[in-house]
Amino acid sequence: MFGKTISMKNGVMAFLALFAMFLLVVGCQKDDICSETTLTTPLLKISFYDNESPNDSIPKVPTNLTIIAEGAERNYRTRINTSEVSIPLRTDVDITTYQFILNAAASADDSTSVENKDVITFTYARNQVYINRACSFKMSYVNLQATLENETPIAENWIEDVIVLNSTIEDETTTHISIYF
Amino acid sequence: MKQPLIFLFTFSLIWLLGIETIHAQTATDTVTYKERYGLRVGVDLSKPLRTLLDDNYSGLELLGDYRIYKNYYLAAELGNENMQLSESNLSVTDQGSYIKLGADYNAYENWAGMENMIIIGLRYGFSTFSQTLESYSISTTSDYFGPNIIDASEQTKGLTASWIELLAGVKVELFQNLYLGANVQLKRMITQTTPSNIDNLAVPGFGKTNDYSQFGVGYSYNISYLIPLYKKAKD
Repeated sequence: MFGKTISMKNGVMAFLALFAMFLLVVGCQKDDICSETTLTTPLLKISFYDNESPNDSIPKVPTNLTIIAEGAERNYRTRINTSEVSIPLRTDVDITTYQFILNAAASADDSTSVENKDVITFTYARNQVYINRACSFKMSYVNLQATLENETPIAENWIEDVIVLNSTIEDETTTHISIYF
Repeated sequence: MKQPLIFLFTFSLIWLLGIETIHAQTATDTVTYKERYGLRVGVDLSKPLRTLLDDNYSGLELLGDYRIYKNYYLAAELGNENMQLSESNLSVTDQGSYIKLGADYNAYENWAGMENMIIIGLRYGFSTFSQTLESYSISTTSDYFGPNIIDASEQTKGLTASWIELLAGVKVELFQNLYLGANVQLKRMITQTTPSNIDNLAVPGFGKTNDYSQFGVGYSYNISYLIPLYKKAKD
């Protein structure tokens, strides 16, 4: 009789131990929140170069550059001074148009700087890639093309040339577009 | 949803073990005792309960076991589940049927006249199902263009999955021939076919899959009835 009691106790203990393991496994599942470090839809990386430099290889910084997408309500970047910038492309359509405004005025009343607005249209095809249950899907882009809208006279454009270096956008490690001015 | 179910499970388990103790005290001993062998059929209670409580779930599972030798039982489960998973950026429905085949071992040394079980079991599971990608959003590095939410309703039919599972549980004879059981299951995926553009987020019978491993967990809370077929003396 004593032996039976021990046996039942052992059995119950074994079961409770397994049940505790079960709770542990359930409790230790990863949160269904998309981690900040997960690589999602890549940005389009643009580098600016001096048009008159030998081999067109010297980076050049556009002065007070403001970038705004056509149809957008706010600037993507305002009066930045950098030779490299990464911009997002639309994920719902195969075309994104941006205005690149050189010497952008600090305010509407500021008449000291002479703004020069150039428009570049990016066209591409989109591929949808599954990441995981928390992050859902991302886009990668192929067949990227960039078209600079010519103004009349042509000297009105501050950008001289736009070259596509990488027509496939899967990450942000390399420059996709070079802009010469 | 998961927390109240776990609470319910734990609570009922304590209750169940209480009954076990009372039962043990009232059991009578006889010198020559023959053990009953037969077919036990039942239903999982947790799945219909979850169907009532959870709008995103419906399911039913039938189960059975057949005592073949001493403490060894052939065991099987047959079920159907429909699970809608609403993640923050993704909504998916998995639905289909499954079968689990395997064996149970009774690790509990019964007193004469008692037929309770502490079960260690092994199963092979197979499911055939469909997954519907209801809606999703595209994750972006920049929120400049706002969220892009797509209503898809893309259904992929004819998906299959197979897995093995280890289970541990109890089965207690409440009244004559009527058993109440509970168990937990640890599963490992062996094979699965997935839609071309996404993983299987859940598999009927397996439950929710894990993005980072092949393991899954499950539980059952069941009631079953023994149809006695013959008696055999205990060694």
